[in-house]
Amino acid sequence: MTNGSLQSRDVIDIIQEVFSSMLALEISPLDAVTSATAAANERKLSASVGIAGEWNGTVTLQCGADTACRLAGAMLAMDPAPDVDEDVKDVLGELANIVAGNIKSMLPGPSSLSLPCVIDGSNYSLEILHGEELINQPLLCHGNGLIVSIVQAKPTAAARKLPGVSAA
Amino acid sequence: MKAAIIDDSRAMRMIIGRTLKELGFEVTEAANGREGLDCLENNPKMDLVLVDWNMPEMNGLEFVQALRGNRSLSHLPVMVVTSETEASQAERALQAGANEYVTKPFSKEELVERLSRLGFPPQ
Repeated sequence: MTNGSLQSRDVIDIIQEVFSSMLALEISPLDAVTSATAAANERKLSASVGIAGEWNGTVTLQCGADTACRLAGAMLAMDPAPDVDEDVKDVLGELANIVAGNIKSMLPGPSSLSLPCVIDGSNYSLEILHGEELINQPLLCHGNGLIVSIVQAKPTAAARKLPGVSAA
Repeated sequence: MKAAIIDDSRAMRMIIGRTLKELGFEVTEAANGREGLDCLENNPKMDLVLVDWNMPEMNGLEFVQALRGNRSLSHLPVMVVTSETEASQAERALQAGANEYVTKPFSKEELVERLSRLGFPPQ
């Protein structure tokens, strides 16, 4: 699918394949954010990967610190780290990278992926300015919640092919 | 057998390295293409290189181009392991000189099957 019309089901399918292949974990969609996902004042990690080119936007995975530690343990086939460390951040960033790469193939191209960016903290909100949120899908993985969101940047005037405007 | 894994993600280097060690490889790691080239120049008896695409300093495509332009290293078989899943990206990698291309996510069985296409482990 390259018409830019991304559906939640497409994203869920990708994430299920990623989690199954790389973590040997099952993941299922939730209808709404629940207490399993991190509350605003809890420590959470957000891993974002940008997509730039014919389609512009970001793909973000967000989960609580405990969930991130469990995901890292599953991916590395080790006991979960007692606290968020560099490996935990690396794993979450890599998961965001893999999900974004697969989503990118469903969007208009050509486009490139950025390196992952991982934020670790509490009482923050991640906002992609001047973007339109296409997907905000809560998920449950063995009792642990996470959220995947996709934000599309509003196209430039050149991209919208306004008269007299050319690309910079 | 010796293999170099070049990926900015330590987690991916660990995951790939685990499979390679099970197949009998001795593994060397690097975090980007630049480090990868340095590593190969210091380890002349390498048998195989696995490289990511998106990395800081020198990405996978640049690494493959540099490798193929280096007379002492150009013979090495290279597998690109990447989250870039479009067929056009695979073509770019192969045209640049990569021998194989595997997209993430991959299972251990998939990785082993792609390695067998390159003749690893030798029968």
